Amino acid sequence: MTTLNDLVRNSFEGKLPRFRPCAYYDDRLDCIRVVARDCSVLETRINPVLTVLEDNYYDAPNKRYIGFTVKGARHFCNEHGISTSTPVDLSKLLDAILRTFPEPSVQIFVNLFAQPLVKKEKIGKVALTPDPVEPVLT
Amino acid sequence: MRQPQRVGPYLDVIDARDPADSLLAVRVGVRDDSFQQVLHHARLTLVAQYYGIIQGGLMDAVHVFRGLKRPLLHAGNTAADDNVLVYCWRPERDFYWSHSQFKGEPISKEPPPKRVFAVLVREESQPNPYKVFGSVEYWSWVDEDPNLQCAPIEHGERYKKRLWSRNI
Repeated sequence: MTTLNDLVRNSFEGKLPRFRPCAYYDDRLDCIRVVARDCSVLETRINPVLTVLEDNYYDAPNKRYIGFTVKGARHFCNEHGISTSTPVDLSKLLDAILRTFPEPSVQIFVNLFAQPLVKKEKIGKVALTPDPVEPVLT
Repeated sequence: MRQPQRVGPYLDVIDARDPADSLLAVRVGVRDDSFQQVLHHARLTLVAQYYGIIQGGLMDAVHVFRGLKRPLLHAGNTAADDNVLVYCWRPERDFYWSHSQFKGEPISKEPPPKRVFAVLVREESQPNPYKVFGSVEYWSWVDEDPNLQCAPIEHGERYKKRLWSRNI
């Protein structure tokens, strides 16, 4: 009988990688995913461009929020004159989102969570191109 | 749970309810490139949720919506959001990967109350040589709408159209 453990391990050919905080571009859904921890995620929509990611089973208040998604990232960059021919500076992209969406929920989310997370995890730039396909193995 | 069944560019192909008629089934697949992105970033919990929740559970969907109400530029198509279907239901179990130092393993857990699982499927251009209707692109939990069981909160602001709902 195939177990879930086997299926997950087989996906990685038996060599489980170590999760590292990351930011990557999901080309097929045109969004940037910033993820600081691998866990079961609750996605809460802030507005049409931003979604906050929460750990479904956080055990301490400071572990509740684990990342965010910038939806329609390429579309947003194109509309706001942000070049996507080179990797996009995430902090500058968040600043552009702040200027575009003055509503308090966006201001609070970006200033109190997204920008500090980007700095803390040292996530600088994200290429808006599909990822390489090789898994990172440790 | 079963071993993935590879078909062409799809790592695995599973059944889903037909967006046009909930009594019929279509085949949807997980594209290699989509799944490789999940693997590349070591998102083991997403892998566990695919096999634990979606592979055998997508037919349990209670609602299907079409179209994301947000910009989506894909392959030069500025209206690519119209091709996205969202299947929603309330699975009985959730799965996550425990990243213990010595023995990582999948953990099965009862989901928190008032949460629903949403799976985004992109409709493939037809005819598809592999007879696959759509590609499974992403999945996550969202809060449940207080007025519509098993539907995401603010579904009217998230999605363009509800295609069908099933009585459960």
